Amino acid sequence: MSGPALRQMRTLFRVEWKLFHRIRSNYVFVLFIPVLLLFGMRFVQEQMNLSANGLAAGPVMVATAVGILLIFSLYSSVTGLYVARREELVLKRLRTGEVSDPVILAGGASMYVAIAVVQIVVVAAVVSVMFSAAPRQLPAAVAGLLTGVALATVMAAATAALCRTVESVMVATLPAIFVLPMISGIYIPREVLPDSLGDVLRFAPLAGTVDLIRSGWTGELSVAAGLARGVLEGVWVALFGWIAVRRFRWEPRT
Amino acid sequence: MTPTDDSHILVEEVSRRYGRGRDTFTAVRGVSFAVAPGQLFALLGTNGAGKTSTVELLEGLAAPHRGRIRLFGDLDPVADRARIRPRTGAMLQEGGFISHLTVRETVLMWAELTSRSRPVDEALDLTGLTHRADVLVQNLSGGEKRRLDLTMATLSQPEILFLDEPTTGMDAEGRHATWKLIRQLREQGTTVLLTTHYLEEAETLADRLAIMHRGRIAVSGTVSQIVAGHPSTLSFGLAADGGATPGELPVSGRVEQHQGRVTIVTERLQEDAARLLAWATERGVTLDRFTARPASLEEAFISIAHSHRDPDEEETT
Repeated sequence: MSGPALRQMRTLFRVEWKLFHRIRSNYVFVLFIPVLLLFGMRFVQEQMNLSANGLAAGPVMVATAVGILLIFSLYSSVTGLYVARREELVLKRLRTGEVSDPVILAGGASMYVAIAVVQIVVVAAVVSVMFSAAPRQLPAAVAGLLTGVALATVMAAATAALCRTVESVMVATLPAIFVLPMISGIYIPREVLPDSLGDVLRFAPLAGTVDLIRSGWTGELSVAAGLARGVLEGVWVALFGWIAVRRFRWEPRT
Repeated sequence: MTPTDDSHILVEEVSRRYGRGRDTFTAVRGVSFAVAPGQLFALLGTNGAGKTSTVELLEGLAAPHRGRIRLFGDLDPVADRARIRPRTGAMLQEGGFISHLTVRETVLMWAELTSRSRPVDEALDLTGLTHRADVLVQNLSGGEKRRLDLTMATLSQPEILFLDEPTTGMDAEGRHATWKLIRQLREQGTTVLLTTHYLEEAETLADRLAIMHRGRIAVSGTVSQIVAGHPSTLSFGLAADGGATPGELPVSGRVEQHQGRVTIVTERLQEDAARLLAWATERGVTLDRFTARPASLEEAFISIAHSHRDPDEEETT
């Protein structure tokens, strides 16, 4: 990335950071989701008989927590951000200036990426302590985090392309919020499902990310298998990126 | 002026369409004009005439459906965006601000995103916003928001400045201050393309202008050229017991009388005025509150708005 582009990214990050702090209720959002997540997972862990399926609770819970934060904290926030800035004509105005389109989108989202990454690191650390599970394959965990952040962000841009108004964000994000965690192994590990269904769902968006994160704590994936998960996520990023590039609107429909 | 490659802005047979299939709407239909470096060109028109749609094409916010646009001689607004943007400034028709930022924060953000930006305090001073610097954008009046927009558009001291209805919503003082700033920029060599529906604004500022109507340029040129084809008026009061009747006035124009006031619509203002005054002096007739007024842009504008009906209008709207 060029010098001016980095400088512009920093400016857009700082503006969103300032705005985030200006609206106090955002603090609730930052703290509430992870805390609720940790309480919820303690409860779920007690209900699910994971060990019967050869699964250790700690790594499963870390992968689940990361998946939920990627969707609820990053994806839904960035979708809302893009639509809100578009409705205010901020995106259109930015396009009259020197900032390129990718930097406009990445710059605004970068603040929410930073918050989500901090949330993920803190929650993963707390869950590791709660379940006495230490990371064993850190590169896999990092690859999972990177692919997850990239996919959640381009999915947000693609979803924003389909939203007409800020009000429609709620409806447009529903499939990702309700369906994606069900099919990508976030709520239910694939091992718990029938084999044939599990094999198909292995290709769902974020499924590769979930596998990589879990492997970060179990070390279960070989390098080749890890790379395959990375490539799979890359394909999803490219697909949603293609939709975003083709369909993204920089100003409200008239 | 003939469009040449020396133009700062060159627009050739440009069209812009919205929607697809049955919902297609053609907002700009074969528009051509050229603006020389340092000139101020105004696009006038009623609401929906296609002014903003045209300016957005020049700003590179959309590509034309048909036709060609070149800025600075050989640059395409969409393909050469990265090379053009550091040299242009744009004021959108409305909005584009984050409502929870203050005026200073908004300008600072734009300054940081702009190479060769002038200092923020100087920019605020220039547009008279210094005293509102710490106010949230959402609490500004409509006119103040236009000033903020102008501040951002002129931050980089651009070579080409696009102003889309820059004074809409401003009070008289704000409008005159804006005109002063635009004139200053022009004197410094900035090429300005301005859209407006204030005729006085175009008349006061523009070197050349075009009147758009239903997506086309109905007429273009200097103010004198545009009004030349439209009749002037002589107007005065004629006392009923003065012994003179409108029928005996020695003028070539059309004579109308309404409530004791005579109006002569003429294409030979100077000749008719001279003859009329000589006749009145000779006859000892008083021409009460006599005025001789050349055709104004307003008359030309109204005449164009009423007379230009497009044969293919039904197909395109």
